Amino acid sequence: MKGLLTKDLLTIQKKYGLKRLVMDIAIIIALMIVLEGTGAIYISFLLIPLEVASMVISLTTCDEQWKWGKYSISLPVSKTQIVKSRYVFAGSMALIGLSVALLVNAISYFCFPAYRFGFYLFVAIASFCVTLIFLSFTLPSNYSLGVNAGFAAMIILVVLLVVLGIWSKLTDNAIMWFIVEHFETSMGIAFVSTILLFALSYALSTTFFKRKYV
Amino acid sequence: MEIVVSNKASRPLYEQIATQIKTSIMSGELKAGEAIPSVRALAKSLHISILTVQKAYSTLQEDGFIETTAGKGCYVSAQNQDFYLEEQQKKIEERFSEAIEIARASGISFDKLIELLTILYEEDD
Amino acid sequence: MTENILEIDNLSKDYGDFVLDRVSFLLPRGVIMGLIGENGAGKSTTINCILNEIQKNSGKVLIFGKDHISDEIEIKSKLGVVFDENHFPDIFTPMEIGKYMSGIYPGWEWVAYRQFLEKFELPKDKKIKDFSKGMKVKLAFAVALSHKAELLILDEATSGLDPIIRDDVLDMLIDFVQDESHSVLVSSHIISDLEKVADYITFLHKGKVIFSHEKDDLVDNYGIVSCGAAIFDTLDKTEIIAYRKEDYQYKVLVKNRNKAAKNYPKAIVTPATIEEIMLFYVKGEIQ
Repeated sequence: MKGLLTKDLLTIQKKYGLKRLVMDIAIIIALMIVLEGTGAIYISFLLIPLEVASMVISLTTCDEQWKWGKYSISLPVSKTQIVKSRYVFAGSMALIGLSVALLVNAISYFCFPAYRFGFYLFVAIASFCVTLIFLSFTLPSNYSLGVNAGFAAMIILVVLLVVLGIWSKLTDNAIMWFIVEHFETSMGIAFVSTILLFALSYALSTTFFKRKYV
Repeated sequence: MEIVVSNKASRPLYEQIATQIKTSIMSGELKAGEAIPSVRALAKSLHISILTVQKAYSTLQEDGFIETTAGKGCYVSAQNQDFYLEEQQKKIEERFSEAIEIARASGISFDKLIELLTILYEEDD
Repeated sequence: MTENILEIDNLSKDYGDFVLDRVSFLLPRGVIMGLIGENGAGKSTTINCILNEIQKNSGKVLIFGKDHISDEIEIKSKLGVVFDENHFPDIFTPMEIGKYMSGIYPGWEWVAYRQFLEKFELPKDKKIKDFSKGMKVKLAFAVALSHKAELLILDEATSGLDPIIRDDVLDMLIDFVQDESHSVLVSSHIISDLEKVADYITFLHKGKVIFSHEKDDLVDNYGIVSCGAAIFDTLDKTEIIAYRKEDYQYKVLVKNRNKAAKNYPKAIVTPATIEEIMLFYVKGEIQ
């Protein structure tokens, strides 16, 4: 599995590289300056999950382009290992996204404190959960119906997220207040369910991949 | 040692190889106890199948020209060549006897026999 | 060490309009076997079944004496495969490919890999998308030969390559079997290559194994008898494998040309190339 992770890492380095990293940082800074307090929310709920999901989708795109599925038949790696390493990599990218979210929210708290610190912590963790949800849907879609399905899943999720955001605003941030009041419970529920979702998604992807190649 | 073979010639490759090595040994070019290339090395040099060389070597071994020791390689064997030559000579004597009988029975002269032998010998090269 | 590096026993796969029918043959250690047959004969299907890329319907496949499915991963770590289309991540360089291969193959040898890259004159740090087809095949060989593989499987690996590269490839194969525990299975249309270096030839036709013989047996003994109808009628039918009736003559494939030459001195008897043998089996009337 180590070799597969190395390949994914090298692919991301080549496809994204320094340019994209700098661009992302610039966007983050711009959003925080322009939107001040709420910048962290957009970054956490939209930018980070989108970036991570699109990076992982591009790994699948590359594999399809390179007919990696056919070539990997000759390699001493099981089909389960191929899917597992992709999920491990995706999970690691999500964790990196989490650290970025924590950083961004911490800065937000110190520069534009509008809520309690716990709220910002929640947003960071929620960002991680949203990222995992994105991955849980796009990865099996990739494996079952190809790269376009993965993109489609991502777009659908983004739309859902935006709708949720609008609805939340209309109900006067009712969700937010609930969460702030029952902080630990909310975090607990969100966290555990997304991990479970991710695991379920892994099982589904493995089935799709095995079916595709035998 | 030189081995010149061609897979376009009509004689089987293994025969070509065996014959050439035999000739080298009998002419003294390859001396008793001298090492010859291993089966695989020779196959590699000649760009041919390993089994072909194996067959050539086993014919040579059967006729007593070479010996293979596991781990040490292939060597020209010390004796038995005279025995082999004797055997071949016997075979030629038998064939000649046959030919002479036919000639006598049909009235073909000795000179004619020599002529035929010369033509055939030269033709086969 | 098992005597046969590859054992295929009654391998069958049903695709509806095409059936791989009880394919069986053995590949001993230390030899090169050519797998020949026309397009659609089942060569690639056989190889894909061996690699477990497609699921066989029945039959046994043993590689290194182990079952090809239950010990798949262990087997593949000692297996080198070169396909006709070698898809490498085109944004990678050979060194980067080596980097992830070293994490995939337990027996990866960097020294050997670098040596092969040099020997094949492949630029270590150039992106593969700038490589020619011949260079990609050489790279595939470099990878296949750098992880202590014992069995090499080539699936039409040399189609579309010029004669010089093909000659280089044959050299590589001969080098590979210098080690008596190594073998090569070459599936190829380019029969002239196999005629030179193959030790065994297995001929697949319409999903069945027609023969799996020592190449020398075919080349040294098989022959073509060219004759007229009169002689054709007198031919010993048990010696005939197949024949073709042409406009002005009969062409007959026989198992033993020396015997045929002796028995039918009026007919023309010539050696048969492997390609001709194949054509007789496919296009001739089988006796």
